[in-house]
Amino acid sequence: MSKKNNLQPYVVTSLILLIAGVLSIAVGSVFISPRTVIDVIFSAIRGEVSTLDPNGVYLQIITDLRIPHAVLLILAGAALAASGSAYQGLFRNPLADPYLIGVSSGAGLGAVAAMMVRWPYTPLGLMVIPAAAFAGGIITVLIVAQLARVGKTVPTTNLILAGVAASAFASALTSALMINSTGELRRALVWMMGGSTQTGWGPVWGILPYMVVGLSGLVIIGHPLNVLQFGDEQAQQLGIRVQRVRWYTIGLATLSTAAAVAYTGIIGFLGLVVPHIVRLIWGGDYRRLIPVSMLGGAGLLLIMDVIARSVIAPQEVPVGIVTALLGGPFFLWVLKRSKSQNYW
Amino acid sequence: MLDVKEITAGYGQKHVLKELSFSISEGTVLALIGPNGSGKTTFIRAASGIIPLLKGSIRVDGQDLHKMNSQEIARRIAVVPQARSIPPAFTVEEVVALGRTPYLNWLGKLSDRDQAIVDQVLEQTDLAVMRDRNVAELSGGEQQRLFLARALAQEAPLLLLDEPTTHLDLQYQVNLMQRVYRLAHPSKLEQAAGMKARTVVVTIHDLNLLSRYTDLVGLLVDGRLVEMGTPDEVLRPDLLSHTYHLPLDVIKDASGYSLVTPADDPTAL
Repeated sequence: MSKKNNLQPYVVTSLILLIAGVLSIAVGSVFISPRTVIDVIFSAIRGEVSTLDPNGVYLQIITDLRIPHAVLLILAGAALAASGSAYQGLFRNPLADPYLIGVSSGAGLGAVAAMMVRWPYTPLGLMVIPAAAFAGGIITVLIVAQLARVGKTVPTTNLILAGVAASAFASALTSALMINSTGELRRALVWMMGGSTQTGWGPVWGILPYMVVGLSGLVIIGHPLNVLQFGDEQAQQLGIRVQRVRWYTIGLATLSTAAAVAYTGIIGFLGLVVPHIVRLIWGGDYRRLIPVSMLGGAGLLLIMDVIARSVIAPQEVPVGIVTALLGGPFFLWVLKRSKSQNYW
Repeated sequence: MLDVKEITAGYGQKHVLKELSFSISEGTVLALIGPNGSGKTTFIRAASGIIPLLKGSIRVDGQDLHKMNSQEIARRIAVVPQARSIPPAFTVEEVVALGRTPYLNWLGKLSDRDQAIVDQVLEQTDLAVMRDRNVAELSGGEQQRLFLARALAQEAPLLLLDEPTTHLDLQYQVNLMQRVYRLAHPSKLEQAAGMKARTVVVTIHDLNLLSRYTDLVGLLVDGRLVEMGTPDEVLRPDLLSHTYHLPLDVIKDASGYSLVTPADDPTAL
């Protein structure tokens, strides 16, 4: 909001994202050193064959497996962190997050239901799961908002209580579905814990249209969210159409969350931790908070994923377990530290 | 300038305001007084479009408010809420800049003109020296002044203040009311500088600030306007004693302003 156009947050988070990206491409069942990664990529851009990769094996691993995996995680991390900040701003609640209001579980239910059918591995077929996830997420949000509504307003406490209940309900339904589908169980279980099970570019193309709409929409709602921090009444008195902003935010954040959940599963804490760190360091202006959280969330999820793929290599831990293991304690530390600071 | 015509408004089935009517002209400070629950705050909420009117109409400069969207209302009416909790993530200047919201798109980018207005309002309210401070560091009086500044940045001809003095100490109460009076009655110098007289409706509990700093006083009782006139016309011992269920005296101070005081001698028993 300040007129000084401060680029520092963008530069720092972009650098983190860049380093994490190279690391993510380097680490895997075959380790490719970062120097080789960079050389192979730049050679390919120039249309040459890298001297470090005369047979083009690394190039193939990088372009067919590692880059699409990294892009998928970048999109998911950006979406979860941006949705988290948007929900926090909308509900004026530091604990708001795609989980709290039941969106993630609802989207998960939609995705699992769609997974019961083997959709063709085409761009259109791959768009079905995110669409089902979005449908599940939106239906959950609508039910939750309806349950929590008092007259024309939706008090935060009601919303969160209804969200927790809906979340539990959706999770139970998801488990029931999964238990009844013996063959797909392990895959779905890994997915539930936040592990991407599909490889290649397919999932990326499947969620890209949703991500483009969701993320670009979230970037431009910073100003109304800033005004909403003063409460619905003052926001309306300042000329904000509160109901419209509310539904717009819910729709975009839910779309982004659903797209993230569709192929990377349920990844916790990112939507909570990233916006809080950004807020602590660079302040709470939503016009900056949302885009910077996107960059930070993308970088952080890549780093978490590198850890998930290397701690007990060659086996992989679902990244959602790593984010919860590291994110939980870190979040407690942030909470304790932030008590004395005026950042929320 | 402000025409309120037989408005009825409330929450659900409960009618808090009952067929309220009055008009005030530009450059007037109107104080709404009355016991708790008499409808003062409800009037401010109805006039700013927060709650719908069940009957009647409110016009500002001849235009019907309830045919406008919130952005159009916010360009005509600025509300100064009680500064009880301010989100701490903002600086003074950022909060004042939010007053420009009715003129901005969703991106919220200030034009040079918007920024010039923000700068001018910061000077006018003596907040320029602390423009980069975090709002959480401000005192209660400074926070209330900050909300006044945000409302001024809206450039609305009508200001509504909801019990602005309630949580302030005497120094800030007087300071705020002096500012409010000056907004409706700008000096010749300010007029020459292009400042237009604002119209102000302020709800207030402290009856002793009225005769110095307001032009008109409206007494609300149970959602009805039972009396409206100059401070001296309304501040009558019989009327106030009856309204507040308490024996009250009205005396004149050394400058001739009316003061309200309990007509009670606790040592008498």
